[in-house]
Amino acid sequence: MADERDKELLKLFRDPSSRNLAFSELVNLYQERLYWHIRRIVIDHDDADDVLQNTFIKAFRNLENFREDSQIYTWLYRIATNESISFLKSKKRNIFVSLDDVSHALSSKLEADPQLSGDAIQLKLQKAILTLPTKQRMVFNMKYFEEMKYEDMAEVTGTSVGALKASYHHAVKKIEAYMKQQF
Amino acid sequence: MKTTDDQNEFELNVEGFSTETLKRNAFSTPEGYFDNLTPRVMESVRNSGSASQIGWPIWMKLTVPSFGIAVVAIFAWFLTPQPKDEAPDFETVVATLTVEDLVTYADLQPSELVSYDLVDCNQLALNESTLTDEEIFEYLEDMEDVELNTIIDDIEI
Repeated sequence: MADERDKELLKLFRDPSSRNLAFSELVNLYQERLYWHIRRIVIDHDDADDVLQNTFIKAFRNLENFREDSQIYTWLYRIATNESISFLKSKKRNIFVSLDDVSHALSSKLEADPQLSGDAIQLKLQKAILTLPTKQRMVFNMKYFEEMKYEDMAEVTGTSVGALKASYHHAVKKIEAYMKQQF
Repeated sequence: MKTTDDQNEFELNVEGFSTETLKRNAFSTPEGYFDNLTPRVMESVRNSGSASQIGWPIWMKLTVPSFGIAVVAIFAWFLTPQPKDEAPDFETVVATLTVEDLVTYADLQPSELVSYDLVDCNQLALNESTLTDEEIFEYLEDMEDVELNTIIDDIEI
């Protein structure tokens, strides 16, 4: 359910005279969280920037009709997730590989990324995460790095809490196995 | 504050490395990226034409492309030799037009042809390059009044 701040922002947005101000506030509130969520999926900074712009454009177009049966933040996450997957699917079409083979391409991109500042162990962890199926990778990122509650993840993904917990558990096991092999 | 769910959390264990180390952000951004982001996003929103799209009445979205099709159909009718005893109707003439004609002259996207019931899905000879996911999502959003359909299937276990 939308909380009081969400309701206030929506009220301002629905008034044409304060729409842009309300949306700027929304962007300010959520831009970093959404960026990192997207970045962990698409890896490349420029790609993440493009997907983030598209996410906010889509949010602007649809916010007027937002049904307050969820929080704005999980709604935005849902858009960002769908836009990220669309982006990866368009990459898949362009290079004629399966969606999960795109992960190999992303892994190469990871190594070449000038905007990668982590230590060797963090690079290895990111490569381990890239071995997961795309959707499982998203579940892992949302839980491990973004520390989202399962209930919020369920709103974002439209999947049950039980399935998400099982997916996360298996993701952790796979990553641990990968990391053991590498050392 | 940890909830009951979190108490049963599966911790990622990598020997020799703390959770704090593992969770450290591996990625960085160009300097000042977030400082300039909000104005850039607002500029993108303005440039996308979103502001003008809000409040378009549905009748305008339907009649403007239909007018374009009518112009093409009338043009095609005049150029097509007609049997003396038959006066073709609008639908007959539209049926003689190829999908490419409708897309080019009526400036419609293939997904709009389907949503406006001008062609059957099968006529579009769907292939990966004809409909982008963007068009599919926009079509679904139009049809379900901004209900955002998740494309996430059952999570793989």
